[in-house]
Amino acid sequence: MVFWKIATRNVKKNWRHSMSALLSLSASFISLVLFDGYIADLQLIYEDSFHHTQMMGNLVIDKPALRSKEGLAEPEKFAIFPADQQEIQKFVDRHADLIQNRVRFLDFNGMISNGMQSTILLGRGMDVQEGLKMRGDHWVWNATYGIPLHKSTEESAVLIGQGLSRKLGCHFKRSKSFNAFAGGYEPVSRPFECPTYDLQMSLLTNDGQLNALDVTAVGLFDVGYKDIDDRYTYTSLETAQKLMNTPNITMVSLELRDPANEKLVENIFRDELKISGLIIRSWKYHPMGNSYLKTMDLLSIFRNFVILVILVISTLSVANTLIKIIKERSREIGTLRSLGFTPRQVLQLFIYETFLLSALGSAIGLVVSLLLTITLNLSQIKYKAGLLSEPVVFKITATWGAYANAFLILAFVSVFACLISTRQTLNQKIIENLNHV
Amino acid sequence: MKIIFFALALLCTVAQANDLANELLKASDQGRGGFAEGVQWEAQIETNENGEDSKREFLVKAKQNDAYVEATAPAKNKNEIFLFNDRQMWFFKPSLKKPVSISARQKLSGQAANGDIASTHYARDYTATLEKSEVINGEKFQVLLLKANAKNLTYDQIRYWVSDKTKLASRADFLTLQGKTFKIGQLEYKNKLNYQGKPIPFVSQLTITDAKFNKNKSVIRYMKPQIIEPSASLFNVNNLTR
Repeated sequence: MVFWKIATRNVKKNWRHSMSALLSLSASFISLVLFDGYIADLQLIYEDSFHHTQMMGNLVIDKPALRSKEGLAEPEKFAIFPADQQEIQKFVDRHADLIQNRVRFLDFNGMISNGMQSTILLGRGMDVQEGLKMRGDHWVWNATYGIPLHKSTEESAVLIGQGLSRKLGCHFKRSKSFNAFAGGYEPVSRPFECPTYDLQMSLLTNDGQLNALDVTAVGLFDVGYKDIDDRYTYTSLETAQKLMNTPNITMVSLELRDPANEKLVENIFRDELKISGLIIRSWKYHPMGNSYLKTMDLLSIFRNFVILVILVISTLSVANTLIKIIKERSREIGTLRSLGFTPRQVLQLFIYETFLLSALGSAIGLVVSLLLTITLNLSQIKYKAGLLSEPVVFKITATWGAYANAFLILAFVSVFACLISTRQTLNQKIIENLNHV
Repeated sequence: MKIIFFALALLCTVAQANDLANELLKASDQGRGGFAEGVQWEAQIETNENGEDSKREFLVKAKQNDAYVEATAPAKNKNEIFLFNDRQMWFFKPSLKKPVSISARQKLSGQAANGDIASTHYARDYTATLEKSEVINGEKFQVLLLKANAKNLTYDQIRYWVSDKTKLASRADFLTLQGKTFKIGQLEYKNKLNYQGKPIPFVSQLTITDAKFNKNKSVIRYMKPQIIEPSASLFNVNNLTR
């Protein structure tokens, strides 16, 4: 306890030295937590995109063979048939205590035309009402322009990707800010104009029959990735099944009441449902989630690299400051040793002092980081993020884990630097310490 | 008793109408190459879609369930071959080592689908029912509704106008699976074909128009039709590479 008191007193007494150390430590703390917070936010954007906007929930049920060479040639053999769908529904009903919601999807591709332009179409039919629940509070309104499917009274309504809408001659005055502060879009119909809203979707069904359906474009949406945005549409499952002339579906997504139960539900599903070729897995391990995993891998490499650079700079800066401070206090060390302090006690004293400085520096860094986080988040700064089709709002996620990590890292770095420099001084003779200039 | 008699009479009438419809369909197939013997013609397809024009030419040799379609123009597509063995379709071009099987979902789906180029046997592929009679420009037509006998045919339903007098089809409405008109085909018969010692009319032009967007259309011109006796090996996929 006495050592803590002496250490606290020393920090106050040598306030000039303490200030320079605190500056290095708090600057390092701020750099670490802000960058980590930015990466954490990007991760949340991607997770939110898959979980909510794309309605993947927590788990996905499908037949992987559908994406194989054979499956692409004969998709009707690898779809989820009505009997399979009934079994899945029974499973969902039986485990309503674990599963909150399920959405069925049917993917299709073909052509979309407005009479003047025809272009390739990638489409997805889904349960509109269940999809609405899956999107959560923020993404109930998923139309950037026009209205979402659940608000439409048209018989065959479609939401089309903004890129695709441009190909079909549609235009819209880009709203400067329609992102709701808490996430998602402001739930108002923003105008968009098309040469005609009556479109025709045509394709060859799995049986090889030509089919076409007149649909109405009721809104536009942002698919996320530019390449997909140029081709994608959402419609109701009924419309997609009518167009494909099939009662089959491509996949089912499940939203769990508690995401921590993912493994449990997967195991129960495997035990209870023995349907040939049908599997359940987290959306992250579904081919659709591959892009998420790849992006996360890339971000993680980027994050680790930048954090390493920040750490090297911080370590050098903190170590340099501490070495300088401890060197300048060689005579004090000599005095303490001549008064009977053992080298171990002197080392302990300096370690306590350094730890106090780290704690104080981190506390200052925490306050400044929180202020900067709030200010930056309130500023709603938008920027283009790689492959994403729309600018995203620059945000920093404040996580206590990142703060705690930053504190621990800096405390370790400082104590390590203190150990090295103090040991060097302690290895000298007392007289040398006292004669230090 | 009266009800049974009435029902039987109704059934007979329906059966007779269906027989008539199928006979008309069989007769109309002759004008499009539906012979037991082989037939050959040159086809020129001009397509205007979304304001863009394209032109392709083919040599078609067909016999009953088989058809051999060879691209002759433009130069970049020359020697590409589509082979139809019943409903199985193969594609081959000189740069390929072996023919590629084309699945149902990979068939062409533009204004003129593959099925339009080589299909000759509607009587084989569809079951006809007599819908109504119509008089157009003073000529009486029987309107038939053709329903596909198999799920893998390009069109599920076709509404077909066959002339009472000439037994030739003049219009075909290709319907979507929901029964809505998707494409409209207009047929002309200015060609003559020498069949069993006498000249018979043969299709000279099929104009296929998008029902919703009528600027999008394809015109298939049939030229130089003639009866041939192609060898069975022509339709053998294994011979495509030789």
